[in-house]
Amino acid sequence: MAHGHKIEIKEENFIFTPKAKKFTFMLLGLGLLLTIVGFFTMPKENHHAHDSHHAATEVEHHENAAHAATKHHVDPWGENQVNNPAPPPQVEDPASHKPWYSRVYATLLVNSYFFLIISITALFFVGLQYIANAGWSASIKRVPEAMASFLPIAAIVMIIVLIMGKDYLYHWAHYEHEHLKPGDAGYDKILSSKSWFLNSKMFIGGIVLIPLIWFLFKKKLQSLSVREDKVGGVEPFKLSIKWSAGFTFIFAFSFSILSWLVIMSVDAHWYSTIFSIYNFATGFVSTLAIIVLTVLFLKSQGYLNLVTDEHIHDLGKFMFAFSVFWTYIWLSQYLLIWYAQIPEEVMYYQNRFEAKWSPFFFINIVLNFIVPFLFLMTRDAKRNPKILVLVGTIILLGHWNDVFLMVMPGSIGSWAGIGLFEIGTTMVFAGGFIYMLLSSLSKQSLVPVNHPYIEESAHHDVGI
Amino acid sequence: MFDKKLSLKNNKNLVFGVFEDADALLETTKKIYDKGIDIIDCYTPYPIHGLEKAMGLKRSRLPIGAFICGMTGFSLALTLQSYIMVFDWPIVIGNKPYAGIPAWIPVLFELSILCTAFGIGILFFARNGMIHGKIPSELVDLKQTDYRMVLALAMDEDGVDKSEVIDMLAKGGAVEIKERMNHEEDSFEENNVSFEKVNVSHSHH
Repeated sequence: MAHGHKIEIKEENFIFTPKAKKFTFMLLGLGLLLTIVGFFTMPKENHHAHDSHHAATEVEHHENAAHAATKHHVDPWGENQVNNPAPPPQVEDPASHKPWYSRVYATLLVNSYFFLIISITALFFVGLQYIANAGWSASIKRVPEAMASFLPIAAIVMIIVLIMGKDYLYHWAHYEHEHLKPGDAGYDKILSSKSWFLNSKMFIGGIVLIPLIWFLFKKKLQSLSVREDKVGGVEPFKLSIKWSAGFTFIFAFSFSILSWLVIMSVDAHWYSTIFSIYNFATGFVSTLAIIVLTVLFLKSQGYLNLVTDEHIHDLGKFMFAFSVFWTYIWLSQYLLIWYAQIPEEVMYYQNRFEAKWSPFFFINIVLNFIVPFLFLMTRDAKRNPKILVLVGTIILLGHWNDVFLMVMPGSIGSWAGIGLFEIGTTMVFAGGFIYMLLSSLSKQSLVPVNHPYIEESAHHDVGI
Repeated sequence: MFDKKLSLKNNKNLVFGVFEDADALLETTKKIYDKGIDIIDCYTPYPIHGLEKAMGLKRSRLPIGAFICGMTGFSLALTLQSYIMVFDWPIVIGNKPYAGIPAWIPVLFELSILCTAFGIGILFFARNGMIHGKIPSELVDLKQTDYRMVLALAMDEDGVDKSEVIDMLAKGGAVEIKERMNHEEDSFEENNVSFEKVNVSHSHH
């Protein structure tokens, strides 16, 4: 795209300043402090765990009242009376047979999984640009690349937490130890039929092997990126396309399997065929929000001079589009379950509609759909750094809440809550993530000067 | 509805630069715009990045049209479904309430999209005057839909030196320069348009 005017492409070396280091260490330190205080002040007694029966009766009573009201409607066929439905499935509180410290595992799972899917979908973003032969993104490419550097840390924490805490988190893991046969008291047909997949060997194999494969792909793509900077030429670029194609293919399957093993199996009786794409959407939107925040931060520090409003606009569009995509998947999952009303499927949402979880459930929709949809709709908003920072932050909080809502009700039930411990661990993870992000940004030139499309990216223009 | 500023159906004295190179067109357009000369339009067979900025075009109001069309579709779908499902013929389906909003969302979504897509498609063509059958009389160069690009300029503003403009076009790389003299608007006949070729005597190439 020769425009007649030449834009100078030169290396930019990001310096991880002592001030930024101080900030991340303060975040880490404060987070750690809150985690410790949160751990000791965490409730060790649970009154709700024994109240679940009362809650269920209350819901039943409410339902009957609602149906009495609908009977007043005119029924054109006369015979098609609203049948009094079966009482809603009683949701058993998993907290009733779990110790208070299950909350530690569950919270660490939420955070490690959230940051793991952010790191890996950041790598997916890099791969996507290669296989789509995209030119515009060459000038921001280093940001998602650096985000993927948190992958091993998130994965290691998740593996440790899951190996130590799987019996406290997963119904199936607890059930596995009982070795029940058909006819035994407490025999569960569904869990037994799923035991070929939901067992300790598969589980540990999956959660170790899948992040390992991702890590190897990350290493490979990163080494190609370094080679491109040092040697130049189009050979690293062509190889990157091939490796990205392989990665994308493997990522699709492995990400699905990981999300089933780690998150969907929390509610082991329940399943949703769209669950892994839902998790992908959660991770990808969060990744896009962090890319936007990081690019805006780097620009405010005087870096990324090739990045113009045009790139920011495209990133804003990405964030808007994938928020809508997330909602689309969310609704697809919800709508079918709501309509079909098959008891073991409805349980999942029944649980989340009850008093404790309904605020999280509705906040989820507001933060992840309504806010980005309304705020980012216009072109001017997508070019306005202030709005992008605001919406990006809200999206991150919203998707953290999303993962929280996927894990908590089925794993630890009424033990869960958002207290100092949750805030503290999230700050520790965020601090670690920012540290890894900034330190790996400082290792390579922010501008991939030998990228074949860097010139095109510099002249990127989305029109008026 | 139709944007008359884009049309050649006027009584202005017009000068056309015919280009074969997109960069030459872009650079010349920028210079001409900076001079304050009235640019009627650029006719190009394919989109050229940055040309709309070089021409000084304002942002399209099509998104506002899209929003109105979308809201029309949305309210249409809402009215349709609530009228049928709640008032006209309420039927219990799967023990769901008559106003089962989640079940309406796919239809709300689809009708919003449908109305937006059709609406802005029609608005776009109507505004540009690109309804079928309108254009041939305004073809300045027969190859302008193939590989040539045409920059159309109006000369009737005060202080515009026509020979200077022609010189700018020639220097900027126009392969051909054409002109249309003033004529009465009501005498404008579709088959009566003549674009005369201008011979540039003092070529600097």
